[in-house]
Amino acid sequence: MSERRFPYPDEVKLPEGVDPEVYKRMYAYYRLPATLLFDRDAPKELVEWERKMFWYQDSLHHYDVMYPLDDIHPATWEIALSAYNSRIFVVPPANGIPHRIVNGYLFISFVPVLDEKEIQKRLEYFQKRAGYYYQNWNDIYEKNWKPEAEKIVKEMESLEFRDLPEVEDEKIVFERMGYSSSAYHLVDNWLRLVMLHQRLWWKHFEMLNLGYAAYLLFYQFMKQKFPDIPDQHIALMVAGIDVILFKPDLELRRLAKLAVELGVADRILSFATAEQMEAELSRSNNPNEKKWFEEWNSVKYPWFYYTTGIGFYHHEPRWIDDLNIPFNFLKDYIIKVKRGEKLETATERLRRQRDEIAAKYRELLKEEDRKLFDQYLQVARTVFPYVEEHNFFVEHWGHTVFYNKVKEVGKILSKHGFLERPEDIFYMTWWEVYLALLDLVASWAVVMPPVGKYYWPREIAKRKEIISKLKEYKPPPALGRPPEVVTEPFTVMLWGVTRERIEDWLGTAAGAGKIIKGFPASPGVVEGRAVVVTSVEELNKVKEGDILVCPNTSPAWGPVFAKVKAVVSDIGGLMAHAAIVAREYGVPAVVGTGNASRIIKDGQRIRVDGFKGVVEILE
Amino acid sequence: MIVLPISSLRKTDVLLAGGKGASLGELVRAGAKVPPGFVVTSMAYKAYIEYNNIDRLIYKLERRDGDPLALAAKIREAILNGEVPDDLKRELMKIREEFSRDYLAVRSSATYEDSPEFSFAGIHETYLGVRGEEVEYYVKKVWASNFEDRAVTYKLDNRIPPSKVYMAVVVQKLLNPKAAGVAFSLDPRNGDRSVVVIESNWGLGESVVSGEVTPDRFVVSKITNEVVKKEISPSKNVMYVMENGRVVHKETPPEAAVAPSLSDEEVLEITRQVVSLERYFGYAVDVEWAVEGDVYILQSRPETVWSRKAAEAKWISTGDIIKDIVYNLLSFKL
Repeated sequence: MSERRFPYPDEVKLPEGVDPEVYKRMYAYYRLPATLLFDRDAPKELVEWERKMFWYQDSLHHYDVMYPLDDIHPATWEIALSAYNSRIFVVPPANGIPHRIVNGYLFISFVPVLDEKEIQKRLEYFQKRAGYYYQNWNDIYEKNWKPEAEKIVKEMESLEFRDLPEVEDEKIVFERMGYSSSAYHLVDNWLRLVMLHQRLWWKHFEMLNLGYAAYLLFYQFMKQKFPDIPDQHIALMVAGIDVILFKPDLELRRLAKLAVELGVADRILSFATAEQMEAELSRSNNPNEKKWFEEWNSVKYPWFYYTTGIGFYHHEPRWIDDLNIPFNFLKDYIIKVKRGEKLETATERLRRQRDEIAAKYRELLKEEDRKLFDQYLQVARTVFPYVEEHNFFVEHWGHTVFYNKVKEVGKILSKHGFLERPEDIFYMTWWEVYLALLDLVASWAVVMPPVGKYYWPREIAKRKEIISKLKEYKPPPALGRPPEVVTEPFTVMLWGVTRERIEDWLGTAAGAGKIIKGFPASPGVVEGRAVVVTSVEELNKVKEGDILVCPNTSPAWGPVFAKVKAVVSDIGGLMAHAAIVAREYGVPAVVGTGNASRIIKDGQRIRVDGFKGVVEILE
Repeated sequence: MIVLPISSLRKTDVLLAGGKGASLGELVRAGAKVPPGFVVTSMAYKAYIEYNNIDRLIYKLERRDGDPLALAAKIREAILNGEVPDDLKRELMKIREEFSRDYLAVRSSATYEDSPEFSFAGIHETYLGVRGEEVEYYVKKVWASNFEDRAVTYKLDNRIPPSKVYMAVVVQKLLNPKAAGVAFSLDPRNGDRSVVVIESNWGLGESVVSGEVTPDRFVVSKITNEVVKKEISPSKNVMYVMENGRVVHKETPPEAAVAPSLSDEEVLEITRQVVSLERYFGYAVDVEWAVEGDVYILQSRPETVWSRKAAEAKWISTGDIIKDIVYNLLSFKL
């Protein structure tokens, strides 16, 4: 047992000046550490359980402080991911991923199944149930998963949030409806929104861990046969089939080419903003401009329902909400097309590469292993489109719709004085929104002043202060006593938590040097000027040939990958979005560094080693 | 046929050029670049022995007509003092002119008529830093080394008639490499056949072969031709270099000690040659190489450890892919 450890959850104190009572109201009680929730009376059993687990901060998905409303995502995926593992497919070695919110940051752990007998029992379930999914993978994905996910998102979209009328419509009387539809549906639609969101997250994990498990078989097989094989080669052999996740970027490239073909490129480039462009082109009588503008509009749905982040925060700019993001990318592409560049997509290059690489490895195998190679590769290729694509339906499209609905409710609450600004709704939990809507409906029904008008502005002012204090706070990378080996496969695949990474965390806690370690996500070694980008607004700082350093990337940053020489991110493992995108664009990348964007300064010369996963500050 | 360029030889020429000379020629055929040079063939040796009537002494030795070691000493002396026939003299003059500005290595390359592939392990003679005008002298010294006490005892003990062992001599340009080392057409640590592993230090390869320094290590994927791993060793504190034809042991300047001893292009060129050797010979190889402007292969041997062991690492499949997925999950460890 290693003597070195991280603080236990009960040892972490709230930062100075954070009122524990307000803080505790910001999150679901069961997501808080026991000692914070119960104070001195914390049940021993609970405290000990928390101490027994090894927790690490999920900076991969939840890199920022959890706003009360944004916590709906992890609180939901905790249930969905875990139940698929433990209760639905009954994954033999793995139960769920428990959560704790510690000083505003999400910490997660894993519950392995260690008892041999138990594992044997679970095997039977798993083989039967997972077997059914593997055998029918494409059929389930195409015929059930995709249409259902789409249906859920569209149903979410159909929910209407309207302010309450002075007097109800007379159809309630003459159509004998028997209830106030305005009042009822305002509350009901909120609850439906929350539950549809949960349904979407059940879809998210329906096939994901099965997908990873199948990929893992091929991965481990290749690692045994070729111990030096770079992870990227394994990923390259299965990736790069037309992936929905890259579709928004592909659509922009197509629009750029179309603009040049139709001879409207210069006109489009002449507009400073997307707003201006839309205003002018919507009035245009030029048939080519009209034709192009129609294309632009038809691409928006759903391809601009795309986040520039990972999808878990309301403050991530989304293309559809700020059309200047895709518009600026589009202008870059138009300039490239005009210069005569071909804009060949990396996907086409990768597809050529992937069969070539697979054939070469296969040739090196012995005859009896080749059959297994073919089978395992085929299974990995079967599951991979889902593994790469599911994010589009949930985190991109689904969450964009979800957030827009939340904002509509924010507008109603703000109109009634519950909130100073509609965006303040994100400082409320989803069930507080539900209560506030009941408060509003009650005051409307009774005709009396709503309490929320006085309660929420004060409460939210305090919460804002707490959030800004917690933003200053730097959470420890992990909590508790590290395990000797990390055997929980999903933890390693998805979050990149390995014994080596834990050692790094223990080491870097002592002080950061000039060498920053992370996960090698995409091969190559380059040196260059670092540009630290912490939000999408800063993306225009990036010049051709820079090295992008950022807390996280998302596929929506895609076009910027065409400009940069390398990418360094704070978060991510081998299968993280940033890693997939970096490989897709063929730029060296080191992800999951934990803190590179805070250590590296703008303009510094750095060296990125995408083979070893090391970033070195050269000056 | 008395002196031949290395590049004109092949492995079947072993009786003519000896094991060493023939295998160097074969390397060229296999796509490697070897340092330029010539082989003074076994025909030249035979002609010299007969021209100077030394063959009679050798037969005497073979019949054990007298004290073998005393006879051997006499033979050595006769070889060193013999007269070089005109035709060979002309050929040696050509070598002298061609390498007038270089230092040379003169090496023995023995061959046994009844069994040309016979390996005279450990009884090879090498002279480094030889100038063109000294070639004749050192060729004679190599020839004479066929009758060193140790070599004679070895032959008599193994019932190899000394008259049937011919001494070809390899005369090759001596490199003064920027960097040198070894390379394997598989990873010698784990048997991975998809990579070439290169170990390198500044200067001559001795420091790598002897294990005196921790060398730089490069792993190159044969699949994609990328350098997939680079371990630049910061402790390359000593090296061997050629100075005036002599090997000098030196401290490495501190800046160089921590810098990579090979560029990516050089790494890829070594890889290219190693892969081409492996393909040509049809087995994994273990080579010595050096970089002096170009990449040169000095020697290539079959890799033996993993080529025999490879069968051990066995992947266990249940025959059912879903079971395989489960068992793999259960055995997962990183």
